[in-house]
Amino acid sequence: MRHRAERQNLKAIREGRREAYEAVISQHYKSIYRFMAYLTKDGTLAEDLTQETFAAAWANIGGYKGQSSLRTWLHKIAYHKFIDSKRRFERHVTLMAKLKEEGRDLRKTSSPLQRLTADEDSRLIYEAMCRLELKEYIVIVLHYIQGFSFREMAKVLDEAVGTVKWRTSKALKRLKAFLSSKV
Amino acid sequence: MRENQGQKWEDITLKSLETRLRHLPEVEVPSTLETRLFRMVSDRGAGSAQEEKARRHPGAWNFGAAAAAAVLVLALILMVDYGLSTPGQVLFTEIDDTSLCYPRWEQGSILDDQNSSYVERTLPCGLKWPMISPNEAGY
Repeated sequence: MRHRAERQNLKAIREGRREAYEAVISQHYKSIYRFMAYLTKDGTLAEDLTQETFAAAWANIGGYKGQSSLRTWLHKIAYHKFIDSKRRFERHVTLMAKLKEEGRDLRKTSSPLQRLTADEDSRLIYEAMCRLELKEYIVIVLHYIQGFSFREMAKVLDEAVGTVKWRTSKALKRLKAFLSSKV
Repeated sequence: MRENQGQKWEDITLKSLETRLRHLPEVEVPSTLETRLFRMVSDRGAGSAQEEKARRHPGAWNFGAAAAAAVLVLALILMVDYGLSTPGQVLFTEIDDTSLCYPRWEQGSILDDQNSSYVERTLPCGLKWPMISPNEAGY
C-alpha cells in the first residue's frame, strides 16, 4: 500500500461505503477502459469488461491485501477478465485472426482506438503493434501506454520480472523491425 | 515522400520508438461509462464485499457442516460393518485375575501398560486363546 489516502479509502470500502468505491471508480475507470480497449479493440466489449472488472473488484475487495497498488490489482482483474472473454470467444472463432483483421481495418471500424488513425505515424505504430504476438502486444500496452513498471507488470501477468523485461525488450525490437519493413 | 517515411522508420532508435509509444493519442472513453459503473455499484446495494460474498455463497457453512456430518456417519457405518463382518477374529477376553495370564508379573518383566483387565488379541479363525491354567502358572 503506497498511499495513506488509498488505505483510508480501502477501509471505507470494506465498511461497505459505496461513495468510497465510487471514488476508486472515478480514479481508475479510464485507465482500465483504455487497457481493455487496446486488448479487445472493441468499444462495447471493452465497456462490458471494464464493468465486469469493477464488479469483481467490488465483490472481492476483502481479498485485496494491499501488497500491490489498487491500480495494479484492478489491472490484474481486468487482464483475467480479458483472458476469460478471449477463451469464450475462441469457442466460435479464432480471436487473434479477428483482432489482426480489425487492426488492419481500423479506419473502417468504430474502434475506441480510432484516434490512433488521426496521424500517420500513430497509425503505422499501431498497425505494427497488431502484428506482434498477443503476449508481446500486452507487455507493450502495459509498459508504454499504461505506464507500468516491470515489477507491476509482473504482478498483473503473474510472471517473473525478468521474463516480463525480456519480453518487452524483444517486443520493442520486433516492433522496430516491422516499422522498418512496413513503409 | 514515401522514401522519406521509410528512411525515418529505418533510422528510428529504440529510445525514440519508446517515446512515440508513450505519446500515442489517448483512447476515447465513452462519456456514459462512469455513470454506468456507478449504477452498477448502486444496483448491487451498499453492502460490503463480505455481504456480497455471503450473497454469492449463502449455504457455504451449511454445506460444510452437512459434508462433515455425512463423513462422520459413513465412518461410523464402516466401523460397525467391519466389526460385524469379522466374528471370531477379534477376541475380547475378560480376565479378572491378571496374575493368571502373566505369571512373571511379580518378577517385573512385564511393562506397566499391560496391566489391564481387558486384553485384546487378534487371532486367526479357529485358534483358541492360549490361556494359561493356574497349574501351568505354578499356582
